[in-house]
Amino acid sequence: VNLLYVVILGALMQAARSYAPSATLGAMPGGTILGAGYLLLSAYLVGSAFKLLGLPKLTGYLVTGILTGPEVLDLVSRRMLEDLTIFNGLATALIALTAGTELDWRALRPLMPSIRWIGLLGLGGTILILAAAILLFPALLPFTAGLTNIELLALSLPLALTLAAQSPAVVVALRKEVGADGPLTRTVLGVVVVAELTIVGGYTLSSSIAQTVFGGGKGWLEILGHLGIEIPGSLIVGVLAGMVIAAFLKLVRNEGALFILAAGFLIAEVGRRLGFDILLVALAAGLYIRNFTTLGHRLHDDVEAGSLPVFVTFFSVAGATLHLHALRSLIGPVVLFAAIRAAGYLVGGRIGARIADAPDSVRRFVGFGMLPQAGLALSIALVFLQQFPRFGEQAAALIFGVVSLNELVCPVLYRLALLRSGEAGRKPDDETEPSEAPETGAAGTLSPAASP
Amino acid sequence: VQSAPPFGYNRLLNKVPGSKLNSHRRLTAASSLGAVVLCAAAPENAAAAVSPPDMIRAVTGFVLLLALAYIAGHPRLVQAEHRLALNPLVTSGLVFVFLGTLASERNVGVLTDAPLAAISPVIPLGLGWIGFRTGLRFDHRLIGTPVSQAGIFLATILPIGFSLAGCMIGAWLVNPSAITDPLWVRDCLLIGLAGAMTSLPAIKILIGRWPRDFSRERLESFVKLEHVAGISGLMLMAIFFRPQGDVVGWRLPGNGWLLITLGSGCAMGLLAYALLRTSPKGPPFFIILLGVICMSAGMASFLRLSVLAVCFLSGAVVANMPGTFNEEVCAVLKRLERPVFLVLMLVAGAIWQPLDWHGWVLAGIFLISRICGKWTAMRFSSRFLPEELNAAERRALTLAPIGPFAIAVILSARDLYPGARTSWMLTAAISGAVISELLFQWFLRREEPAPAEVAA
Repeated sequence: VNLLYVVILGALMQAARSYAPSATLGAMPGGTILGAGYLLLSAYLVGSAFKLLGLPKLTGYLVTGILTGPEVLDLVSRRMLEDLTIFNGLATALIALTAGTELDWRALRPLMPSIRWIGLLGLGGTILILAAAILLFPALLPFTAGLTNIELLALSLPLALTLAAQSPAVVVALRKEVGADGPLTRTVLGVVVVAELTIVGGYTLSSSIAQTVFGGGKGWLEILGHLGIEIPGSLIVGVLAGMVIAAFLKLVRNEGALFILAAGFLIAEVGRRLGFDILLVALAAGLYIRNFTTLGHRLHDDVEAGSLPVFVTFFSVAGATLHLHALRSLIGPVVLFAAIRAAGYLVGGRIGARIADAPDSVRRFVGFGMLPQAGLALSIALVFLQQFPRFGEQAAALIFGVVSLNELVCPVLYRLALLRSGEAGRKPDDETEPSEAPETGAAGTLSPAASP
Repeated sequence: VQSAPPFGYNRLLNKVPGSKLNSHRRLTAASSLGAVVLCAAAPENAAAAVSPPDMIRAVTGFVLLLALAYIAGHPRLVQAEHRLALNPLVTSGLVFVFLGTLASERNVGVLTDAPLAAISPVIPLGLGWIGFRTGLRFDHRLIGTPVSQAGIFLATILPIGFSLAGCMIGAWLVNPSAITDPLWVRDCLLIGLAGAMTSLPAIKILIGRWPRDFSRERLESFVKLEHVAGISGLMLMAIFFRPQGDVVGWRLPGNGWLLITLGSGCAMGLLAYALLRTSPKGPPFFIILLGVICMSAGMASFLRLSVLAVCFLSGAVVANMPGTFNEEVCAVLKRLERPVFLVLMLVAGAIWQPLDWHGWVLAGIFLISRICGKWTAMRFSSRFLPEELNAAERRALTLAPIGPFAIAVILSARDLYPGARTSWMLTAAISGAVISELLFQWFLRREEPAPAEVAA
């Protein structure tokens, strides 16, 4: 039935689009609202249909965007998409804010030996392998043509970090979905939340260096000065934003969701223009609220309450902006990089778990929990594309291709791993109420009950 | 005199106060809409035209103004306004108009030209919200109410006719060739249409104050049908004054556009009904509601149809179909109606040019035409349809102030015809609202107090 509604919506959209074949009319205010409304409805319906098939909702949103975008059906024009990219900043801030609330240091402390080794070898190893692959096979990546060795080196790290990004939300959602609990579930959760912080911090650092290298003519002192302002500045602003949000949540009981949206919008639009890193600012705000106040759960719930339309639009727009013709020529590299990434996580995670003397189930399956990608990966990908526009649609196709592949396949693999490990069904149903979330259609947070 | 709510729409409006809605769901709706409004504002588009510091100021200022609109729409403030018998258009509405005007000043730099162009998608979105909400108020049984179609016809057509005549005479005095210019005729018709609309909150104040003298059924039905007539007028205007040329793909006769307007509104309404009926409560429900309103409004604006009319039809279809979800839709829209209206008032304030003398000349003509039109309509009503309204009701309807709906009509003109003389119309409507409110307050104080008040 959902698909029938999608067809009706498509027919209405096609009819409306045929009225104004000229690009000028498509750019008027009605076009923006029409595109937003159409994408909201059809992506939501397709996402629900995907959920019924046991697939992630996010994949449904992306597929809707791809199908309705300018490269396939052209129901949503390029001009409409340009206007709708405004959702990117807000969605990125909200995703990072939610991600920050999932990092509860108190809960992670007992697992630190395992997390340290698995993170070091799994995450660190994968990033290095991906960077090495970029350096060794530049011929596979046409957008690197003409780069000097230094430039290629500068590019390899932020690109590797972008490709290596993981998804705590998918991990949390699957844990809830199958009611899993045990050493594997807890370790995976710890690893992905720490990896998230590492990747965001590492990306900010490496992308600043790369931007400076590509900017040309800047000395190391300038690079250090830039980094010295951007990273600590973003963290300080993030903590201040967290304080303001926490104070508001304490004072006002019921209006938190709207305030957080406004704060997210300000972080995205004002923070970016002031030269701060949106991801770091929002992540620091979320971290502060989770670890220094008792409002982490409320923040998470409030973000979830109001952010669904933003996420649905964000992911469908991300799908619609995917350059399929570029992806077609990069299908080989996409599969190759996805395979390298998977191998890195599976082997590195296994070795790290063995060194940390983790239980057998952790050794065998921890790598599968590090494979899924979703919202954060897409956010970093969009930041990458904003920061390095010179690499254009081919870089976008590579990154979105890898993320889409991992988003589609890896949650299924991790779900199987949880079932095979015997941890599925161990958790009581008290916190397995499914909810709407951007990443898989069921999300939550690392609750105290789940803490080791 | 009947005091019991007579129709289904009253069941929706009066028996389901917003407070009964789960507050989490209500806030989910608020924040969802807030997110879309923030993003619809699309400051990205203005970035090229505005320097980063100015853009930061514009974004921060706009977010603060939105927050202020949300706070001003709090049910307690609305209740306080109601207790003081004040028309929202001249209290919070005027404050936001002035805030908008202030924000558009170059020294303030929040809603200057580039940011204003960037937030233009907010206009169809807000109009769509108001249209959908008005449609939800519409019960098909209203058509068969004691208030006849003839009464409504008189109450809307005569003020429109008087305003049109007055404005055309004014235009002719300024420029004799204006009288044959279709654009002048179009703008004068729009002013007349705005001037014919009566404030529904004012009527509610009246009924609340003297429940024995005024029939809720008759007066509310009258004003609601008047709004329906106004929306129909806008629909017809959008059909007969259309952009032509190669930029549009369809060249249809007026009847064709009429069918398209009715078809798109009903199709979106049926789709909304089908989706909302089976949707789980919470975020999915609001996604669908928001999506339907956005798409209906966007489609109407994109096809150069009246956003208010198309969204009204969608809302009316949803309201008149069976199902219990209507109550949730109504409660959500009711809570957000005021903030949406205030955001539109901000935009109205930003495009308003109070120093333009043309608007003030027009304001005088507008007000006199409106009162003459209403007075004549009520005289005809007492002469030919004496059983419809009693003397006090006729007096109240003659002096009832202009409501927020008039501003929505004028902003529709901005959406439909970017070249229309919107600023003049706004001057006329705003000053008309203030003066008609003063007249209405005088009327309230002049009428005999209710027996209950005397006893107190």
